[in-house]
Amino acid sequence: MTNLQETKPLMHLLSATFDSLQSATPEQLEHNPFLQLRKQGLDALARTGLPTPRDEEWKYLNLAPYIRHPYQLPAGKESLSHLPQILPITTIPVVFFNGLFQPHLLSPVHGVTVTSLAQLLDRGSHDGTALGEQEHSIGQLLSPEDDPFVALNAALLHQGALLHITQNPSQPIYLASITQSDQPLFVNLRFAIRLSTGTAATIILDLRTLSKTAPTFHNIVSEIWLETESALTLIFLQNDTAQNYGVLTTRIAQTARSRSRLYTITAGNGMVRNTTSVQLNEPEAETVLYGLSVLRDTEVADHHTAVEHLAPNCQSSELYKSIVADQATNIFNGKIFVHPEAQQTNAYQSNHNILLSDDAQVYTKPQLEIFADDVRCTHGATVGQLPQEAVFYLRTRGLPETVADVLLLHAFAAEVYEQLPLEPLRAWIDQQLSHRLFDIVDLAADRKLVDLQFATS
Amino acid sequence: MHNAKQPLLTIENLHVAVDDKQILKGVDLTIYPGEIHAIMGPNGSGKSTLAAVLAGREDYTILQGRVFFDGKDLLEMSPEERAAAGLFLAFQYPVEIPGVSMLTFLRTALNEIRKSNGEEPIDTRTFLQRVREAAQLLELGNDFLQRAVNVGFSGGEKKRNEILQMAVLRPKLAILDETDSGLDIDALKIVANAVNSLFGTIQSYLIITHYQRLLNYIEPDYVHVMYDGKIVRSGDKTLALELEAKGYDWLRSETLSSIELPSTTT
Ligand SMILES: Nc1ncnc2c1ncn2[C@@H]1O[C@H](COP(=O)(O)OP(=O)(O)OP(=O)(O)O)[C@@H](O)[C@H]1O
Ligand SMILES: [Mg+2]
Repeated sequence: MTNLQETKPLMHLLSATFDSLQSATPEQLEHNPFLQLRKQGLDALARTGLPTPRDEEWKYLNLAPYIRHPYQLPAGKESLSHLPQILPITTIPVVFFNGLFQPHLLSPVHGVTVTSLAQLLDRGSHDGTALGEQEHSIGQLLSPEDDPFVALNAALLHQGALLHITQNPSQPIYLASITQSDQPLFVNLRFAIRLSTGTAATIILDLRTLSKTAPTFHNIVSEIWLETESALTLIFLQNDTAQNYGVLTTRIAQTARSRSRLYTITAGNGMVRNTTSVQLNEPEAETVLYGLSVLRDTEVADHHTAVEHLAPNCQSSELYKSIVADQATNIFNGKIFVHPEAQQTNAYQSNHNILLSDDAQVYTKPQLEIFADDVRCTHGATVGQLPQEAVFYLRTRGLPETVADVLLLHAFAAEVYEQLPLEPLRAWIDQQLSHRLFDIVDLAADRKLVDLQFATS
Repeated sequence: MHNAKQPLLTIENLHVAVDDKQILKGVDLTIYPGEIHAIMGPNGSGKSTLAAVLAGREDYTILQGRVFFDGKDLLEMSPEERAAAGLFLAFQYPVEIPGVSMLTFLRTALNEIRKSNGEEPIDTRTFLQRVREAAQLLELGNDFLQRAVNVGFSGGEKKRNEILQMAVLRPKLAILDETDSGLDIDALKIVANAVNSLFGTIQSYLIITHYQRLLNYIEPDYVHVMYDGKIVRSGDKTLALELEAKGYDWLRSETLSSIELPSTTT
């Protein structure tokens, strides 16, 4: 345990894990897969430590300022009496408050089985039945060896949920972490989600902190299985406040004719790293990855995506855009692997960025590895400023420069989310982003949205 | 005849450079309300530069001269202030604005202009009515109004769209920079008809063109010839006919004797 000295950031969080492993009998260690996963996590962390900019996959993201706080893991039995109204839609709330599952907010829903991970763990066994089959159990898609934050997540394995969708839920599932604390909080959550054959569901993964003074660090790992012809819309909301930090590692494994559609809206959280990977394992599976960052101050967004084409006739489209102001940073790294058996692959990727200040930074890196010959694959990346020709054109029509800027930035951004289902949510996102754009171009508050009507009449 | 009126636009001895290259070399022009002026002249003589400077493009350096619009010092005003004061430029090369629908664009523009002039935002019904009328006048279908500004428009559609904007915004002075270029015969008539029917609401036009053709439909009171950054001749509409017949060469020989040219020019 020499590499896990308590003086290193976050490592003090692991003491409970040490204790649980030390007090476990050899028999428990052998038969309890959760204890094994914790141990695996611990071992992997001991080998690698947390990532630094020396690691290729973390090159532009310096975590030091975000992990240095004296974070604490959730303690006690914190309870949220009612769900705060954050989104303008009704949902199936699978909510964690200060890191603890809040089952009382959730009433039984037809077609969705929600199992608390903590409850399973406290019962001491996990045979995979919660998700139906062993192959869908935690740790099957993302192993501690894959990534230091997956290792950390495994080492701290306790809170989380297993979601099994067997019939189309009538409402979106709201998978949310909400925190409110005077102390820095570390929220470590694990999700395993399975969509049964032919089902369709929308899941919103939202990170919120109501804390004003202390940061919350989220480490969220999600493993998602899409069975034949199932369809998932997954919306990541990262439009909270500067004290909200998060590393989200997500892997989706898709079978034949399944569809996934991901939207990531990053506009407010102080630091977000999304490590998102999709495996298209069987023919005619499709994935759409859409991401938008609107960043200001010293906010950092790091989107690492990887799409693996492992079977013929699959399709992937990726569109990531960013608007980066002040001293903010946006990072995009998009990998596409087309394996030899993945003939007739269609893979598209584009990343477009607008820099609004000299101190803002954008890093973009497409990485394509294609081993099949019958493949349509296009990619493109741009980094630029607001097109001054267009700004001038709008100004000659009477728009003040700031209004022209907002109109152009909004149009640029909206392309990412205009296809988002759930109209009230789309409108809410649009409004939040518009306000942010007005702030960024420093337009007086009283003109907001009153004069400028984006909605098409 | 117009002594009683104030000029709408006065340009005095305007010298303009871009990147140290002098383009306008002393332009004088006065336009009174109710007048239509045409500017002709060879490629590269500075017509679009003059139009862009009037509209407020910032890449230019004003070396000398003054411009007054409706009694105000135009060169002190931002492009949006000029628009609010009633100046409109139909671009020679209209700009595409992806993601911004014509309706959002027109409404925002109109309301910003109204706001600058201390007026309330236009109500939706009046706005839509005005826009539909303009679309009808230009024979652009209503589906145009749903599309993003100029994106995917044909060359001729872009030009008609400039006039549609003019019809909605109703400026005092409209500068049309080669609006006729790239228009087919029918579209030319449509545009000319729109320009004529808005004359009155729009007090004056400054029409930049290469062709007499347009001036058959829109009759100018004055025709000016720009040559090497100066207006070297002004006359009535017969001057356009003369240019059409003779080209610009005869001007070259005339101006060569009257204008100092760098020694490299032969
Ligand atoms: N931004 C610029 N940088 C360098 N040169 C410029 C710039 N803008 C204009 N010019 C030059 O100034 C001269 C006048 O250009 P302008 O566009 O005003 O001509 P024009 O009379 O409108 O020509 P045309 O009839 O071809 O439209 C040209 O030689 C042009 O190349
Ligand atoms: Mg020109």
